[in-house]
Amino acid sequence: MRFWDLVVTSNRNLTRSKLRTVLTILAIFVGGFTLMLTTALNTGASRYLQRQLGNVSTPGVFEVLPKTDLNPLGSGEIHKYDPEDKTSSFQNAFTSVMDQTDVSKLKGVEGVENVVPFYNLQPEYIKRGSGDKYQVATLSQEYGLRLDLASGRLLKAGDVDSTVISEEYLKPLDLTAENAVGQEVVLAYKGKEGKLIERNLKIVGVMRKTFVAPSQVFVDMITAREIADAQGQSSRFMVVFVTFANATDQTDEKALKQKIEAVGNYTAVSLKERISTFLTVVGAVTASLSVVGIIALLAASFGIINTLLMSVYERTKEIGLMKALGMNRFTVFSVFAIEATLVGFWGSLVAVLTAAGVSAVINNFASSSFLKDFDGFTLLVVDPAGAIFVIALIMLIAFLAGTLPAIKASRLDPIEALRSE
Amino acid sequence: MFQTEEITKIYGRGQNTFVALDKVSLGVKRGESVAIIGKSGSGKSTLMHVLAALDRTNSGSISFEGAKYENMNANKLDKLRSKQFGFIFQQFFLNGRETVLENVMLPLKIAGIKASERKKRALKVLAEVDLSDKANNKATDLSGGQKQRVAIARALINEPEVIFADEPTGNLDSENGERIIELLFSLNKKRGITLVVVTHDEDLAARCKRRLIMKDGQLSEGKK
Repeated sequence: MRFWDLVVTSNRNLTRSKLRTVLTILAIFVGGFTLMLTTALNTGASRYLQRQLGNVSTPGVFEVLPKTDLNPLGSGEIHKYDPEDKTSSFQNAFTSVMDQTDVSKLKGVEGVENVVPFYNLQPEYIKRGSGDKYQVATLSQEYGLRLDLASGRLLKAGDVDSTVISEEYLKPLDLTAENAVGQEVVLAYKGKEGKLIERNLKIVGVMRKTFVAPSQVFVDMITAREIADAQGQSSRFMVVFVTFANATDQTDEKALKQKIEAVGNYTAVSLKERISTFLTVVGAVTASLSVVGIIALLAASFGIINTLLMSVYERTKEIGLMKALGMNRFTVFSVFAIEATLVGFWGSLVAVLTAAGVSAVINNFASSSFLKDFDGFTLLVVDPAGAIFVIALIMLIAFLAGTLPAIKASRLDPIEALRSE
Repeated sequence: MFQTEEITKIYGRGQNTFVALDKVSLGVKRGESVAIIGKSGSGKSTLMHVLAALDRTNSGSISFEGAKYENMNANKLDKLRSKQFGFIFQQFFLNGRETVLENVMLPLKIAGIKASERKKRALKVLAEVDLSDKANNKATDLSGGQKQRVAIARALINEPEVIFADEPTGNLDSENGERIIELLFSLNKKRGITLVVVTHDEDLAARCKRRLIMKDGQLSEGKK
C-alpha cells in the first residue's frame, strides 16, 4: 500500500466516530497547549536573558576568586594554619582575601593581558551641581563589560574621573540620554576616618536599564583605585578580573580557565559561564512546568489507546477482509499507528495554534502591566522551532500509544476476524 | 494449478482437538470449476481456506503453480493472495460507508497501485458486472444481489487466476443467485479463471465441472 493512501485512509477512519475522535483530540490538546506555553515561556525568557547578558559578556574575561569550602557546617575538621591556604575558612567566601601577591601571580599566567583587582567601594550619594542628593545602588569599577549603551562610550584604560551611569539616574539628575554625555556629576564617599569626600566625575556614557546590574554607576579603574585607597580597601579585595589578550567568541575558555586555576588555589568563572547559569535556572523552572504538560499527555495517550482498541474491535471484520485481500501485517499495523499519530498531529496542531493566539493576548497584557519595566521582554515566544518540537513530540507519544492497538490489529487472524459477530 | 499432499489441519489442543482436514490429497487444474460440498463441520471451508493461503496446515504440503506454501513467509502469501486470488464471501463484506467504486478499488489500493489506475480498472470491472451506474452510490444502498455483484467486481479487479467463493449465493434469493452463478461461470469460460466454490447450493454445485465431497475431514468423492 502506498504511504499517502495509508495516511488518507487512516485520516478518513478518524471521521467514523467523530465525537470519540474529537474527545481524544481534546485530551491531547490540553497537554499540548500546556507544553507549548511552557516552551514559549522558556524561549521568551531565554531570548531576553541572551540579549541582556549576551552583550555584557566579553570573551576572555574571568572573575577569579579564592577556592572556598562552601559547606557552612564545615568539614568537621580543624586544619593547621597555613598562610598560603585561603580555602579552609567558610568566612573567607564573603570577605576580601585576595591581595597584591595574587595579582602578580595571575599576571604571570601565559597570555594574560591585564589583571584588575575588583575593589569593594562604598558610595554615599550622587548629585549634579546643587541639585538633590541621590543614593547610589551599586558603585562598580569598569572591568571589561560590554555594556548596552544608550549614548556615549564605554570606559577605557587611561580614563580618569570618568563615569558611565545607568539611565535610571538621568531623570533625578535632570539629564537626558542625549545631553548627559560630557556633563559633570558629584560622587560622594566616606574616607578611612569617616570624612565625607566629594569627587567630580565626567559622564562618558549612559547605559540602558538592565535587570542584571540595576542602577549601576561605573567608574574608571584609576578612580576606583583612588576611592578604594581613601577607604582603606585597596590592599585586599574579593575578586580579581583577569583579561586574556586576543580572546574572541571562539576562544576555548575552558583552557584559559585551567591556566588560571593551575597557578594557585583559585576558582575562575568566565562571564559566559555566569550567563549559562542564569539560562540553566530558567531551563529548570520551565522544565518543571513542562512536566505538567507531559503528564497530561500521558493521560491523553491512554485515551488514544482506548479509542483505538474500540476501533479495532469495531472494525474486526474489515481488518479480516483487508488481510484476506493480501494486506500484510506491517500495513495493518501502519493503518492504526498512523491513525494514532494523526490524532496526535491534529491535537498538537490545534494546541500550537491556540497557544500562539493566547500568547499574543498574554504578551499584550504583560507588556502593559507587570513587565512594563522590562524593556524588550516578550514573555511568551511561540517560534517555529518550538512549535515543530512540540508537534513532533506529541506525534511520537501518540504513535507509541497507538502501537498496542496496532499490534493487536496486525495479529488478527483473517478467518477468525471475518467470522466474528 | 493446486496440488496438495496429505494436508492435515487440527484445531484445538489436548482433549479438545478437532481434525478438520485429515490427510487430504488433491489436485486442481487451471481453468477448472470445483465445488467443495459437504455438511457443516465436514471441513469444506477449512479446505478452501488452506488452498487460498488464508490458513496454515499442520502437516502435508500445498503448492500453487509449483510454489510450496510451507516454504513461503507470511508476506509472500499475502502477496500471492493480493496478486493471484480473488475472494467472494457469503456476507459480501462491503464497507457500507464507502462508495461502490471505493469498495471495488480496495484490492488495488492494498496492492499499491496508483489512484488513477485504480479508478480506471474499477470502472471497467463494474461495467462487466453491469453496475456502472451505481459506481458513486454508497454500498449500503444496494440490494443483496447488487452487493454480491460489487463483490465479484472487487474479486476481479486484480485480474486473478483463481476466484475463491464461500457460499456466494447463500444470502440471495434464487433469481439473484442464478444471476451470480451465470456471472461466475461466464468468467470461468471467457477468461479461464479457475473457480473454487464452497456451497450448499445444489444448482451452483451442479454447474461445476468437479464436485469434491467432504466428510469428517476426508475427501470421500471427486479425488483426482
